[in-house]
Amino acid sequence: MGTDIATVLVEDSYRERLLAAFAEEPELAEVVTVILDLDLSKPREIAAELGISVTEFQNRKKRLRRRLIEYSAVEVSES
Amino acid sequence: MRSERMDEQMARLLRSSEAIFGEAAEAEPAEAEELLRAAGIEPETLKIRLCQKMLKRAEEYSRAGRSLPPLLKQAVEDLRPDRDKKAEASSLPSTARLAVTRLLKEIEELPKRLSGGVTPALSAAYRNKKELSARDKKVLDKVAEDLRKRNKDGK
Repeated sequence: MGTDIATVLVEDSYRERLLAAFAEEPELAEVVTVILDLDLSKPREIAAELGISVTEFQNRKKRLRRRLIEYSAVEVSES
Repeated sequence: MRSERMDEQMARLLRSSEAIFGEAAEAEPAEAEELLRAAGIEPETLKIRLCQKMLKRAEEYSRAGRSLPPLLKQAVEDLRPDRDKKAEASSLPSTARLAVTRLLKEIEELPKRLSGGVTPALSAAYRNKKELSARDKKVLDKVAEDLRKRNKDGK
C-alpha cells in the first residue's frame, strides 16, 4: 500500500508552489522545507530543527502568512 | 481504497499547512485585518457582507416562526457595522458628560468656597465632639458667629 502517483504529484505540486512563494526569503523557505521534509508539526520540534527559538518560529509563521497572502494576491491578479 | 488515500493525503497536507502557517485562530484580529487587506479585501466591507448574510438567515428563521439560534444572534450582533461606533458613542459622551457635570459643580461651588460659605457647616461640626468642654464650645460658637457675620457683610 505505497503512495500512489497522484498523491506524489499533488504533494510535489504543493511543495513547489510553496517554495516558489518563498523563494526570495530563505528564512521562510527553510521553515517550509523542514516541515515538509521531516513531517514535523510541533513548534518546539520545528524550532529545534531550525536552531531558533519557538518565539522566532512563531514570528516566521506570521511572515509566512503575510507572504503567502501577498503571493496569492499577485497570482490571482496575473491570472 | 482510493478515497481513503485521498483522505490521508488531505490530512497530511492540512497538517503541514497548519504547521507552516498556523491555524486561523492563531492570527490576532489586527493581523487578520492586515492579512485581509494584503489580499485586497477591506475588512469593513467583508463585515458588512457577512452581516447582511446573517441578517438574511435571521429573517428566514423569523418568517418560519422559529426562534433565532444563539450563535446566529451573536454573529449578527458582533458583525453589525455600527457596533464599535455605538459602543464608542455611548461611552464617550457619558464620560464627557460626567466630567462636565463635575466641573460645573466645582465651578458653582467655587464662589461659595472663596467667600467662606462653607465655613458655618465646618464650624458646626465641632458640636458633636464629646471631648470639647462647654466653655470651648461657647468660644467656637462665637468664632462661627463672627465668620457668619463677616461672610454676610462680604468681608
